[in-house]
Amino acid sequence: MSWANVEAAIQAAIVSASGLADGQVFWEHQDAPQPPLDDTHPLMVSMSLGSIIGLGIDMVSHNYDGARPAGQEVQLVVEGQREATLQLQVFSAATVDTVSKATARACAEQIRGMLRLPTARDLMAAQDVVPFDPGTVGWVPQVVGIGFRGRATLDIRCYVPLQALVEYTTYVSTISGTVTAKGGRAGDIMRPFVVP
Amino acid sequence: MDVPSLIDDFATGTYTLTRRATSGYTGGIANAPTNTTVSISASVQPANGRDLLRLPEGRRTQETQVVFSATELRVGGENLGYDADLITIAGRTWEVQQVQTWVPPGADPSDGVGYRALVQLKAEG
Repeated sequence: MSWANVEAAIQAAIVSASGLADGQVFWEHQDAPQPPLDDTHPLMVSMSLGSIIGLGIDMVSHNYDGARPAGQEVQLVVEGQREATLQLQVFSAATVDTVSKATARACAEQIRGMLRLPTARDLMAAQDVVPFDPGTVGWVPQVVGIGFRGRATLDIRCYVPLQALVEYTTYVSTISGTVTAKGGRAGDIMRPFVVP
Repeated sequence: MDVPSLIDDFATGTYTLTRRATSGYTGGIANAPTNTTVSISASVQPANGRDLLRLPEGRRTQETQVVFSATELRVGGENLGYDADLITIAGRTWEVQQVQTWVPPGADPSDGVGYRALVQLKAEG
C-alpha cells in the first residue's frame, strides 16, 4: 500500500461519484490556484484526508520462507486496522438548485449516495479503502466579495489500509566455529569458519 | 507627466519577472505551472508600516519590499487560475502579495500608469 495509490483511488472514486471532470476534484492545501468556478465549471470538490485513527491494537505477524535470501527467512509484518475521515468541500457557483445548475449541497448529496454503488466503491476497494459512514451533508454557503457561493461539506469515515511496514530477520544468522585438521607433520592446522 | 518614464528615472535595476500560468489539476494533484520570464525595469524600495497593514496578520513579520514598475504585476486570486508573479531581486525570489495601480499626484493616467506592488520573500519549497 502507498498513500499515493490510496489518494489516487479516492480521487477517482469522487470523480466518478460526482460526475465532475477530473480537474475539478482535487486535494487541498497545494501551492496552486483553485480550478475555475464559473458557468462552464459550476462545481468543484476539494478533498482532504483527516486524522488517521488506529482501531484496536496492532500486531506483528511472522512468516517463514526458506527461499528468501539468507538472513531474511523470517518476515515481520505490522498488521492492524486504520480509520480516516475523508473531508470533502463542494463549491458551486449556484446557491439555489435549478434544472441546469446544481448546488454544492446537491452534488455532495449525490456523492454520498453514489458511494454506496459499485462503480465508485470498487475504485476505492482496489486500494482497500472502504467508506463505511457516509456522514452528513452540511450546507454552509459563503460570501466571496459581494456574492454568495454555494459550499457543502461532507465527512466520510473510511477504513484505510495500513502502510506496508516490513522487516526481515532469521532464526540463525551465522554459524561459526574452528576446523582442526590433525595428524600432519607440522602439527594440527586450525582454521576458523563462518557460514552466513 | 509620463508615469512609465518617471518610474524608469528612479528604477533601481532590471529584474526577472516570472509569470506563473494556469496549471490545472490531474488526478487531484496540481500540474506544474508553465512559467514564463521577462525582464522588467523596476524600483525596489523598503516597505513601511502602513504597507505591512495591507497584508494578512500572519504575513506581517516576513521581509517585505515595495516594487514600482511600469509592467503590470499580478497577484493570484479567486477564479483567476494563476499564481502570483515572482520577482528575482539580488538572487532571491519574492512573491507579489498586493498590487495597486500607481499614478503619482499631478500625473495624467492617460499617459500610462505604473504599478506599486508589495512583495515578500518566498519560502523555499
